[in-house]
Amino acid sequence: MFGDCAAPPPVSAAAVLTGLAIDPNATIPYREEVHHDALPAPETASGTMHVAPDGWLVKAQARPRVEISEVGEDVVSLRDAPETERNLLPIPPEARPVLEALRAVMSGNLALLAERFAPALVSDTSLWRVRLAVHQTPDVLPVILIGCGAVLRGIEINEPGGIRRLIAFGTAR
Amino acid sequence: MTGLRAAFLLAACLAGLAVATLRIETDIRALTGVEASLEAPLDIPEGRTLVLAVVHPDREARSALARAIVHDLAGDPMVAHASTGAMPPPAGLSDQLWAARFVLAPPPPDAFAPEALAAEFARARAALTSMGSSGLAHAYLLDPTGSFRRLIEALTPAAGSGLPHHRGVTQARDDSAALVMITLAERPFDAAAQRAFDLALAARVEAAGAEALLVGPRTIAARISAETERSSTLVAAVGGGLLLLWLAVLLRSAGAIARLLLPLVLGLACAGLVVQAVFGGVHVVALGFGGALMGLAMDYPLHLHAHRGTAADLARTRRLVLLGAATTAVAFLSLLGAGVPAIAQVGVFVATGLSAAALPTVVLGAPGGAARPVTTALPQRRATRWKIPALALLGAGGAAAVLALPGPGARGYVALPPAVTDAIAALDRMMDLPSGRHRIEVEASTLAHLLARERQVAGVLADARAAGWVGRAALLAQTLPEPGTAPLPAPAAFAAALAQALPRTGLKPAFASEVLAAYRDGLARLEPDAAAPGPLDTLMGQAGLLRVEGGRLIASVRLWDVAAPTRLSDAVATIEGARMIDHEAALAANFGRLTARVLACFGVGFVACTILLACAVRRLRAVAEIMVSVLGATAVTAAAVALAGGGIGLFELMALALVVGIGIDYGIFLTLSASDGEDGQAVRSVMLCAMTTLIAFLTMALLGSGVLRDIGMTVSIGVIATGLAAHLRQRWPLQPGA
Repeated sequence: MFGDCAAPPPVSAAAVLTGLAIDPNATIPYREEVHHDALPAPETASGTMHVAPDGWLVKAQARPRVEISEVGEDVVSLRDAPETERNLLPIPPEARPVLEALRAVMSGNLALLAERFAPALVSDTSLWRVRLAVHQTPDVLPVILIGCGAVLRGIEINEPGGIRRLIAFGTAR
Repeated sequence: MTGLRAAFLLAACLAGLAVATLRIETDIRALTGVEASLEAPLDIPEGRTLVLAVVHPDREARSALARAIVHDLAGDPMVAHASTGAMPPPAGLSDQLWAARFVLAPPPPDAFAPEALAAEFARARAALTSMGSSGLAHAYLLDPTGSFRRLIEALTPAAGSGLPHHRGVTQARDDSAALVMITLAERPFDAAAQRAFDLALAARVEAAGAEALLVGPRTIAARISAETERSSTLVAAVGGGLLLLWLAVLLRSAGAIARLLLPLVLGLACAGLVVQAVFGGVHVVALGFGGALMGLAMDYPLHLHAHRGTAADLARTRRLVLLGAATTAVAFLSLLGAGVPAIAQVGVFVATGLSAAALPTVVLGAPGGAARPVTTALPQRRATRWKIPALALLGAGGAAAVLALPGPGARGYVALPPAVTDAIAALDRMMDLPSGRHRIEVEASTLAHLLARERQVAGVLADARAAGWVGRAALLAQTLPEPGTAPLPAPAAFAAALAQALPRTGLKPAFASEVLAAYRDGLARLEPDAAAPGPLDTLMGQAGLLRVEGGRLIASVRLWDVAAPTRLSDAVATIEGARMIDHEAALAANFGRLTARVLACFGVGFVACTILLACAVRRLRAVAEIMVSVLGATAVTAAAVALAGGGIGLFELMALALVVGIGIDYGIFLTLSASDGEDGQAVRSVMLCAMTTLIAFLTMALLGSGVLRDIGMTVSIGVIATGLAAHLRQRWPLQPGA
């Protein structure tokens, strides 16, 4: 899902984050796979993501159905078309760190990642994986950044009940 | 050191000690005694809510400011929780909802049909790719009855306020303001601290170029308290200045003025210290009322001043001063029987203060230096046969008028200043506020029972709406899905339906065992749940829908446009565990009970005072004349106040007690005069005292606001009435042998 990588393996999580090149103004296509033990094959979705000027993360899903979700500090705003009325969902405390990490990644706020989520290199192969501890216990439901060299290729998000979301970015990121 | 210097030194020491050590209490519960309903408005969760409207034409700017304010408030000890509108669910809420899903949202029987189960599995699969189901999708898959999904979907709008929002910040309906919802910390109401918090918050908003509108029960109470304090300061400054001017004209010596004020200072200091020693603190009500009633202590040196003509007259006046102080002290000590701490403190404060003021007065003698010959002759008072019958008749008429007039209700206790009512009206336009006066409370020991009772209330409310008794209502049961009525199928039946449904969904067959285990677990939690506080209670508490008290769950039903409260109350009363609350009526009833209790105490005090006077004077006719005069004049005063203001409440009653004290004092001097010479001096001294009292209380009546104005008016009318009544002389028929 994340492709091959020929870049040299990184030496540390800090080195990965320091070297990452993220354009906070870019609109990025993505493809998402949702894995669960009950599913014979993952559910898939795709669309674009971008960070709005006020810092909100906008996830515009195009398939399997249109859903525009905007993630703020404490609420997620949902609508099924740009012109429809928004449905406002307050973010529960359990989900806040995950969404905060996601917003920090997409807006290129890597200093916040280093400060808040104890990044750790969990795979030092060419296609590196950096774990972000979004819970008090680092290995419980972590968010994992996946990349190659200075490019972020995707994100893995683990949810309760064995749900694993793999989001692959479609452009050089 | 002379006795006078020693007295000044003692007064300075005691006053210093009192200022340094007195602990002023403001807890309103000391005024309510055993009746707890008075504290409710400020102490229940609704009482701790506060809405801040950030008014600014630019939506982006006001929303950013609202958000920044919420950030700032996060660490404020006055604040339990602040948000820009949408309430964040408490941690662990989804776990609690999952466990109680079959209690909160029992699935209807048709939810167990294989087709329905398959359709629900399809919805759960679709939810996997929706941000809205993030963190919940696994639970949706495990519950193909849809119970948990319906519960989440029902509660999500409840977390919002039903108002428009911009970037997560709730906006006013008229798009004029961003709204910040604040829940104040669970701490006793402190008017000064609350006012400081409110002013700082408003200043923060205004510094950013926006306008702040703050509305909440504690904010309103603090504002009224601050306005009363401002009014008191004005009255104290103007009244104090006028009194000093009057005393300067009267005594023409700073030393004499200081000497006249000395007993008052000694009395106030002693009263404060004794009350603190007995009760562990001095309630602000005792300080306010006691301080005002202690004004009577100024009369004592004034009497001596007016009677300083001869040594014999002075000696007799000393005895009368002591008698006046003793009778008033006995009357006020009766307040100890009120069973209300703050009112009992008033009794001890006045009794101690007057005694402590009277003793140095008689020991130190008259202020104002050597006696000067009286240069103005006063007309002799003529005795009439009709004084007592006329006053008795007037008194009976006055009492009948007071009894016939409706009580003050909650007037004076809930009357809001115009600025506050304007702010409430503005906020109502912005967010359609529920009634602040009426609500319905539903109580039960378990959530299941509570919801069942709430659904009964919902039925009554539907009928009430149709009859036009009430507009709309918001209740917990309304936010939950409509429950199924049939019992849930046994696990075996569910497993059979599941076996038919699962192959249609594309899910792995092995998943059936997990789903069945989750179903069994849900069934196991159908037993009545304990009313222990949990995340759901916290969420509903923040929404003002539910609270836990003493192991009982209490749901609050908010009401809009209550048109027929009595009919609605009667209809609600037919449901077990449900009752309609009328805050204003409850407050009025509570103060009514308190007023009746204080009146009964004063009745006992008046009898004791009469007995004391009779024992001391041993002239029954004189005692009868004094007491009938006092009662008649007080009843006429009460009738006048009731007619002008709408009834006699607690504050007016306390003012009338002062009128009685003053009346007995005047009566003692005017009725017990043994000769025309003594009588002339008595008229002079009573006029001096009446003028002094009127200066203080007329200032209060004309410049004070609210309670101060009412007290000032009551005492002013009372002083004139008792003065006139005491001035009349009764001509008694000659006794046989006289």
